[in-house]
Amino acid sequence: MPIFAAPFVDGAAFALYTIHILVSDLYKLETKKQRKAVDAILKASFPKLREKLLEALQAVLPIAAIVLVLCFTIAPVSPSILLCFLLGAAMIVLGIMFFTLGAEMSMTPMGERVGAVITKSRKLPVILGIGFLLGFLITISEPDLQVLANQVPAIPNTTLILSVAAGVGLFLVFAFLRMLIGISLPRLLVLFYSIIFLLAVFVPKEFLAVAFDSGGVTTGPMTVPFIMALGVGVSAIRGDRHAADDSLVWWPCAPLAPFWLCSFWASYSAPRTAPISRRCCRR
Amino acid sequence: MSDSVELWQLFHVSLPTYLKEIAGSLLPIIVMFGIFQFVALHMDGRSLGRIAVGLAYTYVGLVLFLTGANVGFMPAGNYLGQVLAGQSFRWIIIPIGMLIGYFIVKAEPAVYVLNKQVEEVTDGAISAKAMGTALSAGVSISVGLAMVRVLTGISILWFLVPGYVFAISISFVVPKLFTAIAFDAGGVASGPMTATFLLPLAQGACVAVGGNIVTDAFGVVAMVAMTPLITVQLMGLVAQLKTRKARQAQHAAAQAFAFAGLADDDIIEL
Repeated sequence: MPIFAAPFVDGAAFALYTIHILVSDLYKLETKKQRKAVDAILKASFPKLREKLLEALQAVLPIAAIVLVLCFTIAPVSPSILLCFLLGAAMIVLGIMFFTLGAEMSMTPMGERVGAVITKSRKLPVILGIGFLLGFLITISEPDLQVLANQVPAIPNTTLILSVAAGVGLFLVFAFLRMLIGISLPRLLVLFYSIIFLLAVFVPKEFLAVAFDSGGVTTGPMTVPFIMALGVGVSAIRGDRHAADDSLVWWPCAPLAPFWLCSFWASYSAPRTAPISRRCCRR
Repeated sequence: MSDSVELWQLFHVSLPTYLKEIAGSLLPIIVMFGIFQFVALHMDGRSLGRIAVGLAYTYVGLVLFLTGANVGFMPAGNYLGQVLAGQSFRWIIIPIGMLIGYFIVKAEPAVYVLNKQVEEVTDGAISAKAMGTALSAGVSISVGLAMVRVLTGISILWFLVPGYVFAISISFVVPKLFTAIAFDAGGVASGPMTATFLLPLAQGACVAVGGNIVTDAFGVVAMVAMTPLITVQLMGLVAQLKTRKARQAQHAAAQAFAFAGLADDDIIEL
């Protein structure tokens, strides 16, 4: 086996193991009948996969076209970089196709069921605690956030991701509270944005733009289906007249929280960056 | 890089890293759900199977997406930004950014849902097409402004503070439903393409201009995310005015019709 293949084999084994856990732990493949059921699910998802492929192409092709036109006219880049871009674009199209369908198939039902179950428990600490945990965990797996974190030079990836995730978790708690109590949205928005811009005065300038951006990327392809579904689950249990309106409105403030937390983090612990990142490191 | 094999090597080498990384980031939510399943949910095999297949798709998709973005898309975007802003006509980055902004919204699948929603809510007063054009124009302007920031280094607060103050203050005037839709839509406009292409492009341009990347190039996502708040609410305001005008016109027409039957010299008792 060539040397370069070693890490690949290692990674592939790890991936296979993970998929194995996913499939066999959640759904034990013991009988032929059950195996057939999975086949049926896979087959049923193919037409949708085609639909998602079209959507992904729609997202990537215009940009690829603009880049090509620029490269052929006013921006002289080397052919190797152009090739790199095209191969990357192809992988992105495939990637978007798979994960948008995957998120719809898995995140939506997960969010809905979990939301309904925790509201049914009728215990506020449980609802709020689990709300925080769910917001935290789903944000960790958000691809947009990972892409952003990779580009921020000053802050270690894990630190940024974890602090933004904690921010989303925190705001999910507020959103749950809002939903259960029923405060009007505009007032809450005024309150939170005032706090944000007040904080913005004290935050070091270098973190300002990054913090605002990290708020923008929290509404990505993983978090939106999951948290939306969570809201639907919660409001379905509450089941009063305003529930439907609330499930529409509760989510959108989530991007504010990471900014808030990020700026706190930035203003208080910037000099201590290294030890924090080491403490937070999961891997 | 000299040949195609080396090109593949570039992607190939970083693939295992992402295989592990994504497994690490998906695992917590899966474990959490597993616990829920055992303790409280007890879902049946069929829906569990669907979720498992969905998770497998998500995993494969995320690995492909992040590898493609980090190895191919982002470095190229960054380099392109450098080349564009390094030329004598560096302002060209502004119209190019606007063009890309225009298409980025059009490409976002969730935007179609939003446009349809607005059309239904307004009973067709704001058509889905008009809504789409307004959004595209809005995002295009905000990306243009972000590129102006890259070239000049103006603080982001000069754009965000007035933007949010405006968005929130008209939220008290605009029908409530539009405020809800608008704040819902904030996340819609800033999809994966914004972070993977627009941001690296801005960074590259910033490097070429000699600005500070962290303060000047970042902020693109925030600008894009802010636009729908304003655009959707403005469209709501337009819709409100339109219906009011239509009602007034109807009223006036009805009055004119009532008087039409009378002779010129009739006396109208009031």
